[in-house]
Amino acid sequence: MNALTVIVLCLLIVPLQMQVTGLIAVAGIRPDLPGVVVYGIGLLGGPWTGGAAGLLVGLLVDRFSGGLVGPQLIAKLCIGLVGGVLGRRLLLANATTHGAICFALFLLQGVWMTITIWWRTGEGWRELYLTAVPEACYTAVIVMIGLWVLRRRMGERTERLTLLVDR
Amino acid sequence: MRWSWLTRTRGLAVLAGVAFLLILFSPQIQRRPLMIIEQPLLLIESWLQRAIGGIRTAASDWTDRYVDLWNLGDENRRLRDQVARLEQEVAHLQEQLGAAGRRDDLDAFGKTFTDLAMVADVIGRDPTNWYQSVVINRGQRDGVKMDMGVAVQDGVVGRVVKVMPKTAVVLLVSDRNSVVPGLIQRGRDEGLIEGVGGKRLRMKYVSTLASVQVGDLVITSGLAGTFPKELRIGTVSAIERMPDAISQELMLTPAVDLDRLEEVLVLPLMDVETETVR
Repeated sequence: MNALTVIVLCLLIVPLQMQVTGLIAVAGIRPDLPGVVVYGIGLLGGPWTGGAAGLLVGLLVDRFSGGLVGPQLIAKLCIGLVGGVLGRRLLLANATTHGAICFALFLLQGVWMTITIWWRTGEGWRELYLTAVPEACYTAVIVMIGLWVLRRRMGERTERLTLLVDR
Repeated sequence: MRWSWLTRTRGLAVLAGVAFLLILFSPQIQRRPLMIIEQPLLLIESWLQRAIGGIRTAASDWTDRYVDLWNLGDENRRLRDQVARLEQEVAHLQEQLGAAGRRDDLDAFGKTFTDLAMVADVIGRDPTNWYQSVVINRGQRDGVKMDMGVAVQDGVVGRVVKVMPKTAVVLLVSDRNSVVPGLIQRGRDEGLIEGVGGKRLRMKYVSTLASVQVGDLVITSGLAGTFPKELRIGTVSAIERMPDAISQELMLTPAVDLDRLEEVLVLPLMDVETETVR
C-alpha cells in the first residue's frame, strides 16, 4: 500500500470518529472506525504497515481522548499487526469470517481497556458488558456490512485486488 | 329619348354632388358637423375600436402568456432555488444569532466570576467509548492550562486534562476518572463527587450525620481551585446508607446535559485561600 494513502487514512479517520460516529451511535455506543481502518490497512499492507498505522492511529486516539496516553496505542498496534499477519490468507474470506475475527479482536481490546480503567480507578468491570461487548458487536457488524457492500460493488474484481496486494 | 334621360340624370347627379360638397365644405357645416351622419359613424367606430382593442389586448395577453409559459419552467426552478437558498440563509443566520446569544450569555456568566474566563466551542467528542470527554477549540496559545475548570450556566462540565497548542481535552464530570469536591447546598455537608460512567454521578464520603434528602442541590465547594464556589454540580437522586458505615453515598443527576454541549466556559485556576485567579 502507498505510504501516503496510509498516512492520509490514519489522519482522517480520527477526526471522523470524533465528529461523525456520534450520529450512528446506538445506546451511546459507537463503532471503532479507527480500529477497523487499522485492521483493513493490516490486511492489505501486511504486518509492518498495519503495525505502523496502528501506532499512528492509537497515538492520535489517545491524544484526543480523556484517558491515559498508551492503552489505545498498544491496542491499535496489536490490531494492525494481527490484521497484517492474517492478511493474505484471509483477504478473500467471506464477510462473516472477518466479522468474527473483528468481534474477537475488539472484544480483546475492550478487555484490555477495562483492565487499564480498573488499574487506574479500582473499578470498572461493569464496562466489560456495558461497553466492551456492545462495541465489539457493533464494530463487527459494521465490518460485515462494509465488506458485503464492497464485494457487491467490486464483484469479480476482487481477483485484481489480490494481484494488487501481491505486487 | 333614352339618351336625353341619361343626360338629364347625370346632370342631376353632378348637380347633387356639387351641392353636397358645397354644403359639406360650407363654413356652417364645418363648425357644426352633421349629427345625423356623424353620430352613428362615431358610435360604430367606437364599437369597432373597442372590439379591436379588446382583441388586441386578448391577443397580447395570450401571446405574453404563451411566451411566459416557455420561460415559466426555468423561472420556477430559479425561484425554487432562490427560496431554498434564502431559507438556508435564514436558518444559518438564526443559528448564528442563537450561537451569538448563547456565547454572550455565557460570557456574561463568566464575568460574574472573573474577567479571565473564556468562551470555547466544543469541536469533538472522545474518539473512544471508554472515556467521557470533549475537545474544545481553545488551547495553550489561548492560555488554557491543565486542571482548569469548564462550566456552563447550568453548572459544572468538567476539567481540562490535555492541552494542545490550539485545542484542549476536557474530561467530563461524569467520567470515572473525574473527582470534584462539592457540598450539599442545604446542609453544607461536604463530599467528593465522582463520575460513574453513564449519566450519573456519585457523591462519596458524606457524613452519616448529614441530613440529606432526594432533590437536594449539590454545588462546588471551591476547595480544589479548579472551580469557584457555588457552581451547580447536580441534584441528589438516591441515597445509599450502608449499616455500620461512617459515611454515606449519594447518587446525583448532573445539572448539565453533557450530551448537548456546544459552547462552554473555561475558568482560570483559582487560589483557594484568597479566592483570586492564580
